[in-house]
Amino acid sequence: MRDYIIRRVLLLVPNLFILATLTFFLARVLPGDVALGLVAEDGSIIDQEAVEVIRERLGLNDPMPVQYARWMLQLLQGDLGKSDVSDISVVQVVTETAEVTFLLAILSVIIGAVMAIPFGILSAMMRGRWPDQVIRTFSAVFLALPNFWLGILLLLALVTWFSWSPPIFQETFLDAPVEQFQRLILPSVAIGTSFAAVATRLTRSTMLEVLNQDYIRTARAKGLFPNRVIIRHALPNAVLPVITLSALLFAGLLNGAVVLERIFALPGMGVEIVTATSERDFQLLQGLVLVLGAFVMVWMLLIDLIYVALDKRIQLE
Amino acid sequence: MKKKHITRIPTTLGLIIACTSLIAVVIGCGEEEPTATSVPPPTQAPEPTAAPAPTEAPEPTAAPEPAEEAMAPSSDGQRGGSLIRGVSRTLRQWDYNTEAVWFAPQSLQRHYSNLVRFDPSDGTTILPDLATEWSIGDGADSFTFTIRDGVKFHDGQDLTLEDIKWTFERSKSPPEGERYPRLLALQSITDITIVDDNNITIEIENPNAEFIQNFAAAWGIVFAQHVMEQEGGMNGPDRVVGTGPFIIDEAEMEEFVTSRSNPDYFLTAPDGDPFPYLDEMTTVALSDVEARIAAIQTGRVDISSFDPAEFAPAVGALNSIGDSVRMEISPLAGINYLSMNANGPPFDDLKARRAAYLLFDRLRMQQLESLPTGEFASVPTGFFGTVDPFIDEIPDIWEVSKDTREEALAEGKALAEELGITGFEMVVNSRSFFQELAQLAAQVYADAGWEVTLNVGDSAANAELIQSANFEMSMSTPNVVLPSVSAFLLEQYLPGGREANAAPPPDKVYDLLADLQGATDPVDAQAATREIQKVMREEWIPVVPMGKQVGSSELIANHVQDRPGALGQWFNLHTWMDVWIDENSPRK
Repeated sequence: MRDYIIRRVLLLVPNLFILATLTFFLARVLPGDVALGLVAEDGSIIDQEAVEVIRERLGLNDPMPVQYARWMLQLLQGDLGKSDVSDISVVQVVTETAEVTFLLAILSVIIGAVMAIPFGILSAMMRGRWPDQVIRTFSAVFLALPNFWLGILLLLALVTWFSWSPPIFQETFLDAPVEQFQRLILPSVAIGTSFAAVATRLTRSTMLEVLNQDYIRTARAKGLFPNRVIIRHALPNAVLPVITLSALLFAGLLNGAVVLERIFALPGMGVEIVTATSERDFQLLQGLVLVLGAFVMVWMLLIDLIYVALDKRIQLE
Repeated sequence: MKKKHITRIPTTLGLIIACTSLIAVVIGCGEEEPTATSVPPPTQAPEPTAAPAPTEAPEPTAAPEPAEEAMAPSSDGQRGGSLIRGVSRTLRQWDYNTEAVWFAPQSLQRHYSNLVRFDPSDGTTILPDLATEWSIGDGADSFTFTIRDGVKFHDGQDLTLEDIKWTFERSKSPPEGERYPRLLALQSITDITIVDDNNITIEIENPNAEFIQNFAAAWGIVFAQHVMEQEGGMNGPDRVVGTGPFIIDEAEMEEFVTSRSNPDYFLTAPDGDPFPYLDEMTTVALSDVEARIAAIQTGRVDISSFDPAEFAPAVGALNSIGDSVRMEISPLAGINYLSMNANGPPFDDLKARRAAYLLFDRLRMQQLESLPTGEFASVPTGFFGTVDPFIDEIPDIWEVSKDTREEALAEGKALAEELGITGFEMVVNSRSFFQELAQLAAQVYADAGWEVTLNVGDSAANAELIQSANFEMSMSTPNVVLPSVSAFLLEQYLPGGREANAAPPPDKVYDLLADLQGATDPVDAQAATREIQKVMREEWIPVVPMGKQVGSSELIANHVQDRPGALGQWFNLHTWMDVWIDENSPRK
């Protein structure tokens, strides 16, 4: 186990190097640069000279290999750089936006799992009967609904019926937990519902598979109460794929539920990445992608370890 | 027995789900503050405010102007309370002189003062600000300002003439590595002289009586030299130190800016105390239009601002919210036009540009841009947008008028046929508003027999095409903030201006521009303007004017009072000193 962890941690270095290199070059495939983004209006360039001055200041006129070497040198010194637009450090941007993104991801996964697991079990237990039909219909509907649209509908419904909308000022969870929860609950429900639609079907199918296993039959034959059979014997094996799915969703959400972050004015990392891309703020974009990449790699390692803890049949090699 | 046990499991789980959901909804929907603006049930919507008539062009300022201590609001304001305004974006740089776009001054301008300022009720009349009086030199190439005594910066230090000199010398010659895109005109300053304890003279390269407008514009603010020269420069909200009616209190880039009233502000309100009326003012970024509508509907904000592109949803919201809010539409100074690349075929040929100009039916474009309310979203313009003194005459000129439109169309078609042009490719911004506008423009050309192919990209991508002159036509900005005809010519169409790929003008344009800038009599200025327009329409044709959006719209809670109506002239930029809120405000 220890050797495995060390090996995976060491693998982070070449992986991050590849990620940094790819991000650097892929960002520059985009037409235009930050100087044009700062000085151009729609359809005209306000000050041609300003474009050149900004390019010179930011080193954008240097050959690409020189810019790349500078970026790598910077990384080796532990410096993720600063935004070309706002001059704020990448570390500060991450610090300010990570809480929203993490909380949104955690809350979404929790809501999704809380909905999916019981409904999935219920659907499996009542296979072919009306509760099963209803759950499957709803999961198909929520699977088809774009989550940002569901978010808008939820917002409009609360505004119309309760004259309520989420607070507009961002505060940290520690400073104002209720306000922060109120800001996050609607987008989390929207994302969580989409996730639940997938996870419910997954739980149902794995549950059906588990319920037909010999050890379940044995448990029942021993005279265990059905509740105990389900909870102690069937459920742990049925939820393993759901945990995997949740972990993947969580990693995906760290890149930002961009549209929902925008609709609910949540200053998360997704919005930052999109803004940095549209403004060609390469330094910020590269820094954010690298930080997220590192986190996702560590996260996936943790998931692998959790998997081993949950299922003793899995061996780390 | 077995079956009975199985059915108890879902019941238990169902109860858990129901309880969890209920708790979530209760916590989620809990009011953390009283919403005094209880939104009444939908009632019959008030009529949206009609689009204001185009403002008249500024007249050259005759010197000297009388001092004016304070603008007079329509009624005495009530003091106290805070106001929150939801906008699409706030700021991305603390020094907003480095920013070309308007959302930074929208949040920061209230902390600063100018030498002079525009009257927010018309957007063009020059009023005193830091300067109580001013005079224009005989040759219209120098301006002397008398600066009021006792003005203090927010950190308690006195404003000095050295601060003013430093500010405009910085604008004239930006430090290495910096540029101020909206202050290019100030680079023609040749000398700044402190005459005595109260007077400062600014000289410019060429005669231009209208130059004074640069000192009133949103970007022409006065900085504190001692703050700006600190290590790190303008690197945070603590460096936003001006002499304006509000003092910055707390701010997060791209999120919000909160300001408190400046007790030492130098302009006095009718009640004898200094402006502003409000204790606190906040601008908060709510990028999504639905979020801004929800925020005003639920009393989270007092004002929600909408871009021209968001007019239709704003009107829809007004209809559903009822009579607790009103809508105001602010005219924009801008113009929508099609830029033709004269650095390559086909528009390097005047005949091709004339064909494109004549085939575009501005009245048809206006019809296509009609709103769900039945009103028009734009008015036809010439080359100078709102500052054109003859904008009202545009619908009657030969190429636009319904009576002669067929003749113009026939000439355009004949020219196109002669040149073998059947259409062109147009570069368009990917934002939905611009795409929609471009599709309408393409429809107008299709009606005239030309096929337009749209090449859609984001701002930076399009800018690269334009900078490399790798395009035929592009749809250009609807919001050019320029104060005068001469400014339009210099900063937009003449070589060195934004339309870097526009055709160069005939030489006579420079003579006419000199006449315009040297004119101290409005009659002479108008005569020169007419002649310039004639040359532009017949011998130059740098762009194809499409129209001018009627403006940006705002939903304003009825407890917000005394808001001047022409704010959009400068993108709603003003200092908010005379705005107040009545006792119905939840934040009073």
